[in-house]
Amino acid sequence: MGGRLAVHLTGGSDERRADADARRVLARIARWADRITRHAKDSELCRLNADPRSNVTVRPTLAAALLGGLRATEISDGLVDIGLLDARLAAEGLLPAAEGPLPSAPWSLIPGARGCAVVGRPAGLHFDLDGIGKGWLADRALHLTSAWANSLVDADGDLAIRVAPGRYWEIAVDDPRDVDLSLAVLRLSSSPVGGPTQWGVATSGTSIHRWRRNGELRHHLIDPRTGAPAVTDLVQVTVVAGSAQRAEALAKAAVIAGSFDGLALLERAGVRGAVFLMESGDVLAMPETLALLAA
Amino acid sequence: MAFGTGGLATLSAVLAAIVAPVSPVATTPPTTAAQPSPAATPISVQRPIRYVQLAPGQTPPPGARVIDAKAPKPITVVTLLPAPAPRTVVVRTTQSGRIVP
Repeated sequence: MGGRLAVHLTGGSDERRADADARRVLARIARWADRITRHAKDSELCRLNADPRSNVTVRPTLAAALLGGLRATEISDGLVDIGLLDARLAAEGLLPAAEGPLPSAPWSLIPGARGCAVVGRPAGLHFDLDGIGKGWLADRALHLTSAWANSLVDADGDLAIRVAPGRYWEIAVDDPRDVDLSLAVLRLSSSPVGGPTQWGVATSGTSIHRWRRNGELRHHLIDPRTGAPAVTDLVQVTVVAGSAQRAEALAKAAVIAGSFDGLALLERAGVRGAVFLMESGDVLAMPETLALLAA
Repeated sequence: MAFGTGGLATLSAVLAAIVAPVSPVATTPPTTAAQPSPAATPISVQRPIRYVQLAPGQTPPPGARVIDAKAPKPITVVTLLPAPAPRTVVVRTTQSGRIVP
């Protein structure tokens, strides 16, 4: 799906085993990504998008990723919608812009045997799993590292994290204005009691995937209410949650919603923390975040 | 923790009349033309409409809850973060596609 990919395993004494496990997980992620990317014409996602039928059976990996997309829509109050590929391509100038408001485009997923599912959709609805897919990949890959109590999967900036009791991971929140700077450094620990703690951290924003079209600066985060790039006062949002998929969906939704509605959404969702970079240049954080800042 | 220099900031927004629909999340019946299993549970999604903003002259649909534009707005308190001290951190969360050294 493009972007960087890393697996970090710590806490063991067998370096060769860690290396072998990390390589195995990376290979699995690559195979999953090959199925759900929209950037390879023979991927399962591209075959689904090219299929003219309204009802199409998809294989388990793509079915699970699409289910993740449905969950993202649910938890984001509808602001994250993986059925907006055409609107995104139109924003990039790769498709003619739709005239008038977007038609309502409900779609469904009917689970079938052995993990397969039937996608039911209006003709012409095309899917884009990019950001949501990366959070989903990170979470799924973290399950493959269960032999390691302290592990982290980085799927192009979306992080799925397991922290062993007594350990922590330090995570830098990227400052998109300067690659050498951070907006904050988070220290994610385990609960004082019980087994390992899972975290998810994801960042979404408008300052990397952006381009100028007809003199107007546009970006890739489509507001499903308008079918156009979101008009927002937020440049970037980082969310800390219990999974990468949840963090990614909520970060994206917050950027699309803007600071006022986005903060309310994150409060309702009960996130563990959030860092915002405003258009004004201010860096803000939800109060819960303060307990996560590295000293 | 190093956030002593930060102050408290608040965010607010000016909204016009807002209407919350009676049924905030509409679910469309799923397509059933090709069900693979009789026991399968369909899952469907539709963009939920939580709020609509009324234009001048518009009236809310029957049963909708109308929020007065003059009603007090909720305020979310956030904290202004100072820049962190420089340190070496291996793992970074970034926007996708960000090239990091």
